[in-house]
Amino acid sequence: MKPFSPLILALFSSLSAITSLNAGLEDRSKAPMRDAATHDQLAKSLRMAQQNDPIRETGPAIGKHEEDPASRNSSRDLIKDSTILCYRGFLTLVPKRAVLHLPEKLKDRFEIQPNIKVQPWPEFYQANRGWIRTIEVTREQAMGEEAMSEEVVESFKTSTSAIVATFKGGPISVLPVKEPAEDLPENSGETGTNGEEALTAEKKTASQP
Amino acid sequence: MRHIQKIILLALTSILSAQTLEAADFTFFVRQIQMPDEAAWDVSVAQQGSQQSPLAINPNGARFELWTVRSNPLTSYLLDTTYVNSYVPVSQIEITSEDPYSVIPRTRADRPFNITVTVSGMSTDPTAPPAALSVKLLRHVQAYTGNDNGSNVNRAQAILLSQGSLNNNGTHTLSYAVTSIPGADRTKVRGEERFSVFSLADYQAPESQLASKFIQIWPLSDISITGITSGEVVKAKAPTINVHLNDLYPDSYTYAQVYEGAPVLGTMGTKVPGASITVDNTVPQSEKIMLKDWDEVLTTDGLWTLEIITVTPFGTDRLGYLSFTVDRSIKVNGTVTSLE
Repeated sequence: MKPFSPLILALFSSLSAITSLNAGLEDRSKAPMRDAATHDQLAKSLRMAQQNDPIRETGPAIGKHEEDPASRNSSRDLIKDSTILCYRGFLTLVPKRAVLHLPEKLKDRFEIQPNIKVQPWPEFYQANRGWIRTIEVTREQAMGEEAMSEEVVESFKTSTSAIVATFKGGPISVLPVKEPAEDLPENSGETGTNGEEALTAEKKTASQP
Repeated sequence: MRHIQKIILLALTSILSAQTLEAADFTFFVRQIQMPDEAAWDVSVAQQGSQQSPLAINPNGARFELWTVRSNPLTSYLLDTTYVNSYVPVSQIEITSEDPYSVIPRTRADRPFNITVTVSGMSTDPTAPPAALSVKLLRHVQAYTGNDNGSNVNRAQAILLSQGSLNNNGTHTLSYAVTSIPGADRTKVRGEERFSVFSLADYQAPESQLASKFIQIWPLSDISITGITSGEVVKAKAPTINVHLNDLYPDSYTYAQVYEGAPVLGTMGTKVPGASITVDNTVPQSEKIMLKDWDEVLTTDGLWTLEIITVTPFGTDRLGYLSFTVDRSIKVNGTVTSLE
């Protein structure tokens, strides 16, 4: 890796200039007046700057440098990656797989309504305790490393409230329970009773008359 | 499994105020995403402050995401994201310019800025995984379309301008004399430059963002003067003059001044009463000032210069000027005769 010392030394001098300029608003007008920079001046500065991009003075680009890893973030959307809870003009977002049970009669409260105000989970839950119940899960249960007890699962299957899994009060995804590796047949997917599958199953149950 | 507690530092209030839209319309969410299964936890946070996450991080690491969600229309914005792992280095980025405004770093198209990248936790063991020995440093540039001020920018269209790598712990500083945001007229460039640190991909996780910050670049101001032309002779009342000011810097004071004589840069003239404007905003502003009934500052006949000056965190710039002649003397041509 190339040394940074010359760069740092150069920076110190420019930082000193910056500091003096930032000395205070009242000092601004005391600086020597100049004419506004022109396109030609800036085009020349740009050519010089592009020839000396300090990033290229660091180590050579490594890894998958033909790909832009930042592009993955630019297409992200929290709304699409969340389950929506919406009621009486307020809406909140919880992670997918955090809703463990959704009674059919509350289904319309999981759809976007017009003219809403987004709330953080604590505020929304505080105002909607009447139809939302939370179940604290362990980290292991959330990660699918440990199944929730059958009694708990059975208790919320018949609940008339929506059931949201929480960890330390915050909604959390509950992944399907992972089968022990030795029991998994080749190329099989993960299966379990928690999370989205439980929700899906419950939706089917709830939709029955 | 190594238990890692990630300190979540949030400065949500300042981020909120950075938005050009109504602050009350935004709600913040922090998500901790456990890798590789993408299990997500909604971290309940205050608008400002810091806390430790009690959710132990998987061996594959976790990604922390700071989002803001706008109510109407329902839209989400990813403000920041960082990846933490038991052996992947930790990084912070700071961007500074001559403008002390701290909410979103900003500067002007003709001014320099500096990037400070701090890396820690990088292994010195040559047998450690590559992701523990190096990080990637990326520079993206993106022009704002037309007169947009960044509220409608599609960051998927940012251009990856350059990249490098950092292979040791410590502080690394990069200095840029001017922006490289694309634009035909370099004085009118507006957009943002983003600097990001990414981990290297390995068997546990793909290349993941460790830190990212951006600086907004605003164009230089330009003016046009109507109501008087260079070389004009003012014989009676001073004309009403309109000065159109385009893209005044978000933190600026702009005024008109006059002085006797030909244009000389740096001359301290007389400010024309009522012909000034102060901008205190988060984005550039276009305005108009009017010079009306300003005879009182034209105290003598002769050559005068009118200048438009703007004062910003970068100093004092003359945006434009013109000279004119004041000639109010009345010559009476007559003869005196006698009857004798």
